[in-house]
Amino acid sequence: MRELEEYWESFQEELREVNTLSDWNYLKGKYVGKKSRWGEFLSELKELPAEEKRVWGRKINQLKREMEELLEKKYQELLSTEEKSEIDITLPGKKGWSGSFHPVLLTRDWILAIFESLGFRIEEGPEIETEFYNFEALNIPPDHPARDDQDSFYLAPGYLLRTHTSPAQIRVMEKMEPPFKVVVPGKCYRRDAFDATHSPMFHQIEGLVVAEDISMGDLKGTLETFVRRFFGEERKTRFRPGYFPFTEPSAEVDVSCGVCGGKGCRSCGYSGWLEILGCGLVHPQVFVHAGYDPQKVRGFAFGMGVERITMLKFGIKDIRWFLENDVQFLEQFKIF
Amino acid sequence: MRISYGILKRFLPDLDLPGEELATLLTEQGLMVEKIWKTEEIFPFPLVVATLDNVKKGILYSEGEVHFRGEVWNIKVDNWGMPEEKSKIIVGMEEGIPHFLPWGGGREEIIDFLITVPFPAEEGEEVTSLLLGDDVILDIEVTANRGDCLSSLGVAREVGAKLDLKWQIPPVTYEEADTPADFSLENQAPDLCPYYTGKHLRRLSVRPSPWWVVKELSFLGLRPVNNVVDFTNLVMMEIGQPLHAFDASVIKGRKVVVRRAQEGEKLITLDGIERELSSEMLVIADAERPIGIAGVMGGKESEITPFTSEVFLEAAIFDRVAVRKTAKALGMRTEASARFERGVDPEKVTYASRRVLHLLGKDGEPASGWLIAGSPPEEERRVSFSPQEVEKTLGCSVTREEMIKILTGLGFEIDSSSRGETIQVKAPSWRSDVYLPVDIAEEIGRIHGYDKIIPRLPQFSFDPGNKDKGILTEEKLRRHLVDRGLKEIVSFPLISPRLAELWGTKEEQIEIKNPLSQEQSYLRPHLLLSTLEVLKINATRGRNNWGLFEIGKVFRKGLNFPFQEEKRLFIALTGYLLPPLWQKGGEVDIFLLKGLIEELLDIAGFEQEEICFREDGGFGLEPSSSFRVEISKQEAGRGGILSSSFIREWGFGAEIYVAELNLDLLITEEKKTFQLQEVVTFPSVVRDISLLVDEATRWGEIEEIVKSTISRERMEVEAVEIFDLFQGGNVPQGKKNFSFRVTFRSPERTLNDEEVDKWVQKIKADLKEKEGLLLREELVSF
Repeated sequence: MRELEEYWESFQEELREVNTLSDWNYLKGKYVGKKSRWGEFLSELKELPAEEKRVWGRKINQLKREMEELLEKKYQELLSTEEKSEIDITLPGKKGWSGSFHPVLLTRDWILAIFESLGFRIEEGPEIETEFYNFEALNIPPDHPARDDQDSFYLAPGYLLRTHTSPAQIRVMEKMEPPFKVVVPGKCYRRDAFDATHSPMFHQIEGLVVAEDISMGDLKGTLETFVRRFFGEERKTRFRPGYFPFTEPSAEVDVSCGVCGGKGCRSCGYSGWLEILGCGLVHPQVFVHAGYDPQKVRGFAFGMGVERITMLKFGIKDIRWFLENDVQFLEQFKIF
Repeated sequence: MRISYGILKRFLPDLDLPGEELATLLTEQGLMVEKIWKTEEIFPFPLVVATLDNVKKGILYSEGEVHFRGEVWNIKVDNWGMPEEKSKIIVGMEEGIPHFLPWGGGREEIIDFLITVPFPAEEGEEVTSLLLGDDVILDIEVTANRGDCLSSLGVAREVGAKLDLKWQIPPVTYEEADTPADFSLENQAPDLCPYYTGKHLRRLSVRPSPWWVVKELSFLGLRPVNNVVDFTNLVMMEIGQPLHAFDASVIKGRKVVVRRAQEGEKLITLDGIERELSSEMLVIADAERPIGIAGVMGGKESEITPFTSEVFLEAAIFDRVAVRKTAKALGMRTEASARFERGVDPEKVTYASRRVLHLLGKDGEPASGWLIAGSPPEEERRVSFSPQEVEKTLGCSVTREEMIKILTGLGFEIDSSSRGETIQVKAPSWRSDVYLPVDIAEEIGRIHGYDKIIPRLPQFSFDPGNKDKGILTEEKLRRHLVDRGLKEIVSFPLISPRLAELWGTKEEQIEIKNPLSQEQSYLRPHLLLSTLEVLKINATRGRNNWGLFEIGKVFRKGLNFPFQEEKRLFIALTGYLLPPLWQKGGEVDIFLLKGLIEELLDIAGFEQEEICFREDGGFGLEPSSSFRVEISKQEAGRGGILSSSFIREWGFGAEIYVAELNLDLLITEEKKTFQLQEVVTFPSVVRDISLLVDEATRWGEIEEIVKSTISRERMEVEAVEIFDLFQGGNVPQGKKNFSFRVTFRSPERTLNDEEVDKWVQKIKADLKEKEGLLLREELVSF
């Protein structure tokens, strides 16, 4: 308890030296803050006989209170003497422009990064294609009903703007030796008039895996991994049969609705599911067109619309906003 | 396509599954259910019983009164569609407003027909649930390969296979008259019509369909017309075979001819539109002219009307591609053409006709015998598959027994001699899409359930290699521009001919042959042209301070390959870099643009010595304030202030700085290998030099003189930087002042003032030789 006196004296001494707010802050921390010794004194108190306990207890409280009062007094003193600040820090900071990636390309890059981490190679292909690559090689002969969904812009007989990234499947197979895993991003064009969910130009990502032994299981495993990583662990995936002329068997992949959690709501058309991509095992005829022997290799392919996935990811209601490029819209993606 | 649960049960009597579960089952099997309708959604008004009274027959129509709970409405109805007086009729009641065609709509002056209540009922009663029952209607998306599922029968087969239920086809009975048809049939185009059948009916009673037909067609989204048309439509929806009934009395020469149309031949179709036909189209004709477009739509003249007394009922198979081409060329997709182009079941053609006869019963008298040309195409598709391969394809185990069960359920016939490694099956007549072992695998997978496939990641080793150099460079440049505060945009690459013409002649450019609109009929030859729209939107909305960039392709006609695409980088800057209070010095200018390009070229790996900026105009640029960038003497891009004509025309309020670089060139250039420079820690010595020069003197000239002195004298120089440039004030007229700083530093030692001074003297001496140049007093700083 003798130290209590010393403590008090050193406080008074140090208080005299205080000239600035930061000194004051330091002192306050040392004598009444967490670093102070009051706790120590109080625990010593317990070991004293009852009578002394009362006397010292009163003393401790009194000194502590006095210390706080002196500190407060000093603080007021300092406030009145401290020099006025030369800056008005409430003025705005010199914030420069904030850059942002386009949301569709941002999403594209995220998707590609996931597939890269799964060992896929990124390839690219031309936007102007021949009918052979865009249709025939993909087992879509002229006047096939599947061409209905892919009304194309023609540039000359036999030449068109690609309606999907799938022609890259053929180009990749011509260029590479199996086994391989590739993803191909790119712009595609279809003769659809603009509305909230359609645009004559949009982005797709194509995936193609070719090896000796590939099954629907590999396809399902790969795409489930993608969905989990991209949409989150809590989202469920549904595979259901679909139809594409260039895959057999074919499947459509749905992800459980993020808004209602699968119970059904307006955003998912009350089905609980959102369609995100089409896929399947590479059709033997496609292998033949690409110069592969369908007896020797198998493969799976998938294709997804980047705009649609971006809209789902960010809750964007109108596909036209992507082409409008209002900086107020774009600005919001600076945080990514 | 819509399916009614009630109709489905006609083919699958043991079906007992709630509608919602049926929808899930179909979706998981590949028949995606897009919507489940309740019957009240199709008949949106309560259905009530009203009494018909005071019927007066006229020449064109009948008049009558409809009585309902004390109210009376006067109505006009076509003679044929007016029931007997005192009949109880069905009325849809929309808050006091009666709909005499109870599925809504239909408030025509003269109503085609009224529908009578099919059971005893009292006037005023509400009979909605009695009339509609508890049906559920599913809207199914049928994929292009599954024409067989564009029918209740087809969907029933799918459900039956999954639930292991037997499906059935309703039996048909009808009585033929003794007299044969007094018709002849000629098929001149067996290539486009392998099988054509016709049945002649006499003594026809055309009348409104009974309630159950009206109800079912309405459920399926078809409009009831009259019994003959309705039965053909209903059977098409049931079985999938389109049928057509011609009014036989208008068929000239009592002769039906299947032939190609003559070029330019005309026909008014049922929808009242005159169609011009081409020689690629198949028509049904009589002795003189076409009476229908095969597989697409019948002609108006041979339409079944209340006065029709004899019918020629057609059931045929038309070539898929021909029907598709015809329907597309005429811009008319019909229920019939949708089915023909996906393929119909050759074994159900005459059944469909017979079912119509069965349903018509006493309302028509079939002539004896059939008019037939050709035969149902017998395309026997046998497929051998190995159950082990199917398991390998699907990635899950399925027993041989289960496979056989699934296939049998779907109508495949198993070759009983199949043993061991492979199973041989015969695909059913309606499944023309199945011909390969993988098709069989899909069938088994679909019914077994895709949810049973065991997910795994591919099990092979593949080295994806380094990222493609082009992709890598693009990533680096994009990242840098975003770091520097620019926003990435994606503009629409199709532009108007007017914009395209601004760039150059149409011959050099790529025109879309079938554009959606003129405004989008050219591929952009230059990124600026497609981004103008973006710049405009932002200007109009008062967004004044920004930097934007886009990486995208431009297109041009080429020499070898007819079309060329080139990747470009576009940059646009305007306004201020800093908030309004701090605007001073923060304005965007041409040197910010130049600096940005220098940074990009730096990042792309080019040496400063390789890069050259020259004053030059360019597309869309103000000639006096624009430049050309060269890399090793090759043009890599252009930039500057957006030309005033663009600014005016597009209504931009401020100057916009734009540049466009050839990205392919930045990528394909060979880069020098990286060599680490040792960090120099010896102190630097700095000297500033000021010059007075002729106004026309350019900094580049001075810099070149200084640099050549430095290299000739092997001076240890780290940098030569201009830090001041001014005119006016105390600078004489016609002159300007350059101040620049030379930083000397040696990697090996500390330089002393004397040697640096000597070097500075040499630099000055060389500068003095240049005409019109005057050295100003020397400022020294450290």
